[in-house]
Formats: sequence, C-alpha cells, structure tokens
Amino acid sequence: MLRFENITKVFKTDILTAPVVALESVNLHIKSQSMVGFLGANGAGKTTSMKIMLDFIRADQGSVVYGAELGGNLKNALSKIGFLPERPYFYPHLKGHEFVSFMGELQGLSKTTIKERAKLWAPKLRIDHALDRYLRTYSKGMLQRLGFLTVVIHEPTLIILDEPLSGLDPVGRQELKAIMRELHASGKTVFFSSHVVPDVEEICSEVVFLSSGKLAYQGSVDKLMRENVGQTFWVKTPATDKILRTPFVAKEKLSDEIVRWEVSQQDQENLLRELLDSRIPILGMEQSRKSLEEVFYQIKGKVAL
Amino acid sequence: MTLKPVVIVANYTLKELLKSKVLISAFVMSLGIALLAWLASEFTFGVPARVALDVGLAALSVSGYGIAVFMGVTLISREIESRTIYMVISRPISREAFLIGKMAGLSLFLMINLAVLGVAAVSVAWLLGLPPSWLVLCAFLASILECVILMLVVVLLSLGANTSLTVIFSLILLVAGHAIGETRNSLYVQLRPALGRVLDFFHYLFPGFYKFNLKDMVIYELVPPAGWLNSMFLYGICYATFLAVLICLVIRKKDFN
Ligand SMILES: Nc1ncnc2c1ncn2[C@@H]1O[C@H](COP(=O)(O)OP(=O)(O)O)[C@@H](O)[C@H]1O
Ligand SMILES: [Mg+2]
Repeated sequence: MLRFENITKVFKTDILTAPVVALESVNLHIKSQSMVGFLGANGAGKTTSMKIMLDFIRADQGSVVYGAELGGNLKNALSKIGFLPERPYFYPHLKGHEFVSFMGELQGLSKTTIKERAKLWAPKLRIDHALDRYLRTYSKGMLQRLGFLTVVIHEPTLIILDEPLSGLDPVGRQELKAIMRELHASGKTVFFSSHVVPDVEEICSEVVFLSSGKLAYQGSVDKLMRENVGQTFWVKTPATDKILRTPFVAKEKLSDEIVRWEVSQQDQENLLRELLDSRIPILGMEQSRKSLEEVFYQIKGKVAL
Repeated sequence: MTLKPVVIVANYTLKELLKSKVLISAFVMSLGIALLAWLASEFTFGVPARVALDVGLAALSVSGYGIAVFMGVTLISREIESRTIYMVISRPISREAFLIGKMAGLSLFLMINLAVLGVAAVSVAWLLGLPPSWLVLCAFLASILECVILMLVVVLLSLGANTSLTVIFSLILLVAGHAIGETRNSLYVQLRPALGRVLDFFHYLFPGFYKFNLKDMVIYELVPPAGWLNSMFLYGICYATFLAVLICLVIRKKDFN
C-alpha cells in the first residue's frame, strides 16, 4: 500500500552543530489491510518517517511509493489517508464541531455527511458531550479524541497515527485500542507509532521497528518471536530433591512447595516421561512467553553492532 | 489550484480570528480613536474636523500595521507549532491553497477591523462638520491595500527568518517604503544621481508604501492628478500578486518541521 525505498533524511540545523541523520536508507512497507505498530525509542525517527510519508518534509534520498489502493501518487493518496499528529493542538477559538466541519469540508464532504459521521463516531470516542465547547477548554485527551474523529470522518483507507495512545488515561487507551481494532477488522489499514511495546504487542500482528534511524525489523510479531526466542516449556511440580536426567534450561522455586522446570522443545517429552516414571505429580504445564519488549532489547543490541 | 479549499481555509481562519479577543480590542480602540480625534480637534490649532480626520486616519493605519505585522508573523509558525498544519495539509489541499487561504482570512479580518476604525474616524469628523467624501473612501481602500502588502511581506519573511527578525525587517521596510517617496524627490538626492539610482533600485524591488498615503490629499481636499489613483491601485494589486506568487514558490520547497 505504501513503501519507503531507501529513504534517508539528514537534518542540518546550523553550521556549529553536527547534522543529525534521522533516517538512514530505510526500506519499509505498509501492507494493505494490516495493523502495523511502528516502534522505536524516542528520537528513533518515527515522526520524521510519517512526515515524509505525507510530504510535510522531503527526504534527501530515496522515494515514497504510493500503491494502487492509494491512487498511485501523493495527490490521490491524500484523500485516502487519515493522519493524526502527535500531541495535537487545534484552533483554540473554534468549537469542536466547527473544527470537525473544517476538516470534513476539506475532504470534500457535504455538511449532512459530516453531521452523520460525527454523530456516529463522537459517542464511540466519548467526545459527543464536548462538541459544542471551545477547543481551548479541551484537555489533552479530549483533543486527541476529537483529532481521531476528524481522522476517520472521510473513511480513509490508510490511517496513520503518531503516538495516538500517549495523551490518554488507561481507560482511554483501552477504548482507543478497541476502536483501532474495529477499524482494522472493517478492512482499514492502520499504521501507528508508539514507544510503548506492550500496547503494540496487544493489538498488532505486524511491526516495523526503527532503531536510531535504521530499520531493525519489519514483519509479523509471530515470526519475530519464533526467530528470536528458542521455544521452551514450563512444567510445574511439587518441590523435590530428585535429580532429573533430562537437561533443563532453568529450575525456579516458585514457593516452598512448588518448582518450575523450563526445558527446550525437544526435551519436553523426555521430561514428562521421566516425571511420570518417577511418580512426581505434574501440577501445570505451559509454553513459556517472552514479551516483545524483551525481544526488542535483544535485537536492538544486534543492530547497534 | 482550485478555489474551494482556499475559501474553506479562509472562512475558518476568519471565524477563528473573529472569536479571538482582537476584534473586541478594535472596538475599544475605535472608541479611543473617536475620543482622541475629538480631543485633538479641541486642543490643537487648525480646523477641528480636519484635525480629527487626520488623527483618525493615522490611528487606523497604525492599528492596521499592528495587525499585519504581529498577526502575520505567527500566521504560519503557530500552525506548525500546534501541528494544526499537519491536520490540514494531510488532506486534499495544496500547500499553496492553504497558505493563500490563511492570508485571505487574515486580510478579511484586517478589513473588518479597519472598517470599524474607519467608521469611527469618519463619524467624528462628520459630527464636527466634515462630511465624508469619495476621497476618504479611496484613502481607506489604499490603507487596506497597504496593510495587505505589509502582511504579505511579513509572511514571506517569516518563512525564512525567526519571529523577531521578521518583525524588525518588516518594520524597516515599512519605514523605508514611506521615507523613499520624499527622499527621492529631495534636492539633496537630486544633486547626487548615484544615490538616486540606489534609491530607484530599492524602489523597484521593495514596496513603495508611501504611494498609499492619501492623508494629505484628504485633509487638504486636494484633487489627485488624473489617473493617479488608478495607477496607485494597479501598482498595489500587482505588487501584492507578485508577493503572493513568491510566497507560493517558497512554500513549495519548504520543509514543514
Ligand atoms: N527539525 C529538526 N531539526 C533537527 N533535528 C531534528 C528535527 N526533527 C527531528 N530531528 C531529529 O531527528 C531524530 C528523529 O526524530 P523523530 O522522528 O521526532 O523521532 P521519534 O518520533 O521516533 O521520537 C531525532 O534525533 C531528532 O532530534
Ligand atoms: Mg515522535
């Protein structure tokens, strides 16, 4: 749907300070109908990438390719994209519904369409009570919600959000994540940045991971986990002094009565057989999980080399 | 560039400006101007009505400069700081249309402000016995044109320089543009052709703001030479168009960061 081909962006601020390489030969690809989490530490280049996607700033090298679903070029793409900048702050002297109309009219929507869509989305975003209020009275979270309303008002094919969860309280985050899921389920492509890995892990099947302006990983979360985490199993048993023949990766005392054995995939069967033979009761068994965050620390180390 | 997005941006820019406190201050100021004009006519020599009109028109110009400079300088930078510009230009509207729309909105706002002040000044003069003339209307229109050109200069400068430099440079251009008319015609310059050529160069490149000053004509009821008004308005409109095109060319290349 949208591709970066060898995008490089260097910021030259002034003569005295060294230029900052914000993006270095980045190739990334947003696939149609995917829900992609755009990860990276602060300053990794996420916002810069989004600004280049939308032509707010120009890359020094490389090009952005807009796929056929977006009309094949930037001009057509703009009517099919919805974008929310990070920490948005709008015209303080306009009312909520006036700002929504402003954005809707720019998309070429009629007044009735704008009203209908606002009526549909405002309650979902819990902003309906505030549409008649001036934006200067809005809190950060409310501005975020109103911004989101204007992002979906023209039913875009591709939704690009910069740190959409950052200004919200925990309940708000859950609500917005649910809405993003719903949009994705209805066939939209969602691309959003975050520096909070668990949020992304929760709702995305795909990730793009930037590290200091370089692409560290892109693809499915499952694949990333498979490749970077040797699959292991946990088996819980009552505490025992018996020395097992099966090699284990780790043995952890969970309490005075219970221990947990971690074994690799190929040793799983041996361990179970040995436990059964030795008449040690098996209290529980599950696949061990590493979080996406732990995996990122792991591959970030590799990229830095 | 299509017109519709320009109109939409201009409309909401004006709406936003009208709801800010600036217009209220214009009303307060217009009362101030009326009072000042009356006081001046009472306590100075000369025909009271003419003094009142003179003071009123001067105050109108100054407040127009204020709006053009201080609201023009942040017209774009504020949009970038608040990231509102990203909400707008990520939609099907060209950068040029956005900028022209913003400037059109501010120009309309400027006109409304000056109209309020102008009505106050003319009313006081009328009460003192000087009925409004078509020349006063021309002076008023010329003042608006001047302020719009000043605003365009400010916006153009603000695309390349920071806020304080922009304000300083534009005020220098404003003063120079007013001074050049009389200086060029002074005996001192006429005796020095080289200096005259430097001034002419300045004149061709930078705006000749002095052209839009019709106050003397209004006050002394002078009749401008035939065709003078037409060429003044033509010059103003051409210069404004030139600046607008220049701004569009600059904006095309700019990183909005
Ligand atoms: N206008 C700018 N001038 C100079 N450096 C910049 C500018 N914008 C961004 N940068 C630098 O580019 C890098 C990437 O920034 P950014 O894209 O905002 O990161 P992220 O959004 O991932 O936190 C940072 O090192 C930042 O300091
Ligand atoms: Mg960022």
